[in-house]
Amino acid sequence: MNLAVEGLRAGYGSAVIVDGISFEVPDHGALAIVGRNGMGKSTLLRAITGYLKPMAGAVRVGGRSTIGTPTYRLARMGVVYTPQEQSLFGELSVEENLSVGVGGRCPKDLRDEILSVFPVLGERLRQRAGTLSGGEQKMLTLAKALAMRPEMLLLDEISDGLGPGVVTVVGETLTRLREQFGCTLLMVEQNLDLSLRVADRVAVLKLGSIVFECESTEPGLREELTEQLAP
Amino acid sequence: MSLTLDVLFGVGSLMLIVAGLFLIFGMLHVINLAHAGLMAVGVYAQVSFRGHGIPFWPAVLLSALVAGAAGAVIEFVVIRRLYARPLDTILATWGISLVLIQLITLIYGPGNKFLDLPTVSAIEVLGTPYGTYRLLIMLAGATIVAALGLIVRFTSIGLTVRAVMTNEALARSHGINTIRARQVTFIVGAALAGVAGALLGPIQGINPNFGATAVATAFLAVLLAGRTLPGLVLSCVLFGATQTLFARYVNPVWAGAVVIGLAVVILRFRPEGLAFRRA
Amino acid sequence: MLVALVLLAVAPLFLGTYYLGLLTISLVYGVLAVSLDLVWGYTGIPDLGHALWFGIGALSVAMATTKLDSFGIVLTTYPGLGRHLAGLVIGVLVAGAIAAVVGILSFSQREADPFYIAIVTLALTVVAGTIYGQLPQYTGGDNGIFGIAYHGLTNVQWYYVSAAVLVVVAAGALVLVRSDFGLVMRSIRDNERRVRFFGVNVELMKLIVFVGGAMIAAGAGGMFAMIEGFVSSQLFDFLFSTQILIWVAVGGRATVLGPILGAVGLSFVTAELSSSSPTQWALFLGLLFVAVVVFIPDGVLPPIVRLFRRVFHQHGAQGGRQLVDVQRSAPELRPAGEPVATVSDVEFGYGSLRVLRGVDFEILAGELLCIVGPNGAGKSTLLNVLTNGKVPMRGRIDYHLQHDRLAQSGASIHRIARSGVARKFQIPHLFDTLTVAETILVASMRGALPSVWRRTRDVQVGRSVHEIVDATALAGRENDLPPHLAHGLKQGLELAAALSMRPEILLLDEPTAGLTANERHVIGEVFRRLLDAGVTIVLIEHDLDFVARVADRVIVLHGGKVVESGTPAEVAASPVVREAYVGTAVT
Repeated sequence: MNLAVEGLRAGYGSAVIVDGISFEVPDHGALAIVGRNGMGKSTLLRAITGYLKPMAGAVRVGGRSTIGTPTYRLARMGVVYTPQEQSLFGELSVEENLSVGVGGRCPKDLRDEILSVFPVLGERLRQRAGTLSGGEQKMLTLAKALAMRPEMLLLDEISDGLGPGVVTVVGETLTRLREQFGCTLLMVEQNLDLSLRVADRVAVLKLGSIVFECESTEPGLREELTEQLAP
Repeated sequence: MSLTLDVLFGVGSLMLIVAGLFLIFGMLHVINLAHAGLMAVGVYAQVSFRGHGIPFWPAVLLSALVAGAAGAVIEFVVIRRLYARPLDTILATWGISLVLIQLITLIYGPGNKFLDLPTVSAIEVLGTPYGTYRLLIMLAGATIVAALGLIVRFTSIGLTVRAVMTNEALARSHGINTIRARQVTFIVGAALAGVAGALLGPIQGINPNFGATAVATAFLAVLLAGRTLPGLVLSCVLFGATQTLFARYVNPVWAGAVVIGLAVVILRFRPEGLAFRRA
Repeated sequence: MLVALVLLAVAPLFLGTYYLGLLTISLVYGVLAVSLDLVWGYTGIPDLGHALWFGIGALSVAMATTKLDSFGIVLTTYPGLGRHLAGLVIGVLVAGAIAAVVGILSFSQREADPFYIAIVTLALTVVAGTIYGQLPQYTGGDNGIFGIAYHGLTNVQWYYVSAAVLVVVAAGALVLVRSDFGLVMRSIRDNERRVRFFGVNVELMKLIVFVGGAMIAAGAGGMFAMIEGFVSSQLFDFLFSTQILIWVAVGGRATVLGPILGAVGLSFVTAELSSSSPTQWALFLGLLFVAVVVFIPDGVLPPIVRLFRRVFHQHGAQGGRQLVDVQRSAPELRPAGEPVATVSDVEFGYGSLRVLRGVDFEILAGELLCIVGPNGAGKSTLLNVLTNGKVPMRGRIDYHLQHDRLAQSGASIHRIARSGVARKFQIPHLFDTLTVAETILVASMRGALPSVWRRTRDVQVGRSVHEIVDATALAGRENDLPPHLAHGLKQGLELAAALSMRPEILLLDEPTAGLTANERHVIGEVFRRLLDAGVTIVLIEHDLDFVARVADRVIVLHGGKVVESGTPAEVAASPVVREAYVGTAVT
């Protein structure tokens, strides 16, 4: 499943937050869009996933235009989105969080596989998600996205608030995911290390447009990106 | 013993009335003031079905369907458009109640109607004879509330409901059609109102304003329940018991007023109602 | 409007006795509708049982002018004017008292459902209806009380009396809603939560309006009794309450004149049709009500007025306001370094989730303190706790302001705001029907009781507000409404409003979010000038370069605790901070 975005313009009311966004993520590919706060990363993802109606432009998933498709239908197609905030069902237990959604119960083998990646969640299955620590919550966010067998995963700042150790685990998990499930990945991030480790390509979002894009294996990219992200 | 049974009856019939209201309030965050009108729809449908010779219990089911259908229309035309305007939803549902009552008056006339009890027998409960039908109502109320609780807690539909209640936007990203979920909830809530009306018909005066007075207490009970099922049971017990006891020992008419006063004061000092969250 | 007054004056010449009587009562209903419009249309309090106050007024007159036996049969009538007026006055006072009790019980800062007052007023009506029948020795029971009209005035004279009363009430209401008081009423209706942070005592304002509305309604009820001569439980019940709501909703809520037209027009038609086909008419009214609420929430009058204006090329340019300089002597500055607030070992969370796990720090006078830290560390929660008065699970917060010393715990939001703590929110929360200048005006009032007749046109604000307005291109748009403002302008308005409160401490949540580099520079300059003027600034920021440039001191929040504090340079070099942030893009 590939993703193609062309000339996307989106915002709230009369405020235009992102404009002229164009990029592609090939099937099984991974793109990281990095940018500072307030640059429009979340708006971009919300416009792609049906939470926000774009003002202009095109979004195509697997060749089909998805503008106007309701979020739940995209999810059933295999396009799974994890928001930056309010990313869990705080009132429900860990186990229940993993079971919500397409089909109801999470099949045992998939669940076991997910729990082997995040063992700490396995110890807290009956605990209410809202009482987990910040890092555990992020892990659960990722775990429950995986429980939906995504063909395309859109992650909004999954590294947010995580210590470096956990970020490493997340990076490894995502890489393994891509190998094992072959899902396409679009991640929106502030964390350069994670982006460079996981993604094939990196793009920079600044003040609502993509200003830079290249392969993640380019030498000197880290310095270049740090430069780009400076105020 | 007969006092205890009366109290239990008061609690049970309140639970019956409140069930649909609670479901809609929890899911849609809306106080459905059309509940009174929907109960009237239920009881008058029951009158019609019985008038055509349909046996009592199947008629109750059919009346529930009629009320549910009315709920579907209401949800589609009104509720869905007022999603972002909770106070206007109160007004609109209030207007709908009025519309329903007037429609019923036009079709059936303003006078009183009567429904026969499906059974006039009495059963001995711990030595005291008590009307079988009244016992059935208690059972119905308790069963419906218990069923709601069990379904919500242990089934995957219940999980979907709880997910939507907790975080509607996130539920969408999990493939849940939240618009459909809310629609179905409203219809079920309306059908439950119809059941309450149809079941209470035989023992209460049936006129177009059926349920209008009971419903004020019901609304307060729902607010007091704090969106938790145990809270609902607690508030029904509190209201039902207070009302019955007050009516028996002091004055039946003031009982309603006292219960309302009690609710108002409790809510003032405990806005979350009788919800006790696990620490 | 002049036309309407003229028509009103000459009506008796054209209408027969029957229609005149009808019109007279309709005018009384007009007064009733205005009272509900003030309570619901302008202040947003859904009084679903407004008929109750009307009924109390009528009943009071009845009780004062009759003597009943225990079954409710009238034994004697006392027709004198004195009795009638006494009944009227008592009715107004009693209604006011009961409304005050209901209001005190219902309006509270705590997170009660907005439905609460609606259900309570509804329930009261139901209760009143039932009780009415139970006390026939006072109320006449199911039949009510008849023959209480005041016969000292002819039909025509009564007509002029009600017309005069309506004109007075309407004029008074119009003055009120155009005044500063009316502005605050609307701000409560539009965004009750936000206006508390401007120092407005929402509970008190609502109480005043609610009681006032009840008293006017009771007065109308008393007049009704004196004209029509009867009172019954019908005047108390929810059907009548709904009718009043329909008059206001259909006529046009928050217009004063719309509800009058609705009341007069609809009650006229109701009287005509209620004998022939009452149910159909009630059905139609119900449908009309629902349709209006769903599809034309503003009511019927405003679109007609707009059409009118367009046809006659009138421009609604009345009531524009502007921002002017205030002449104020420079405030005495506190010695720098004195703590203006201390946070001691504060633990706070929601339910079982602990967000702040023991936070200790001080806010010193005249400094710019930045709170930084990874997301989820509790920065916004900390700001919330500083301003919303919620009692922490452990620890305390104390304010040592120039003119006020208070403990945060349990203080109301508006109290904290009034003593000099202003807050600018990250997501602009504004008022849909208040212009830029009006928003700033409400903020600048800082919760002082507003005038009920004066309409402030020149909003006095300090230099910093002017600077923000200019810097964010709000200049020239003082009379625009928030829905027409771009995001950046809304942010500017939020900041300008917070500044116009002349705060001692200014708390800002990510003020540079979404701003261009140039705008950040300007904001930085504004902050420096504010510091010179003696304001203490606390801000949450992600932009560490901005922090390095403007902050005097930085504290780092991580995992709900302060893990580091010091100058920006010290904090940037600290290994603890490095670990909390490592991997993040910026420095």
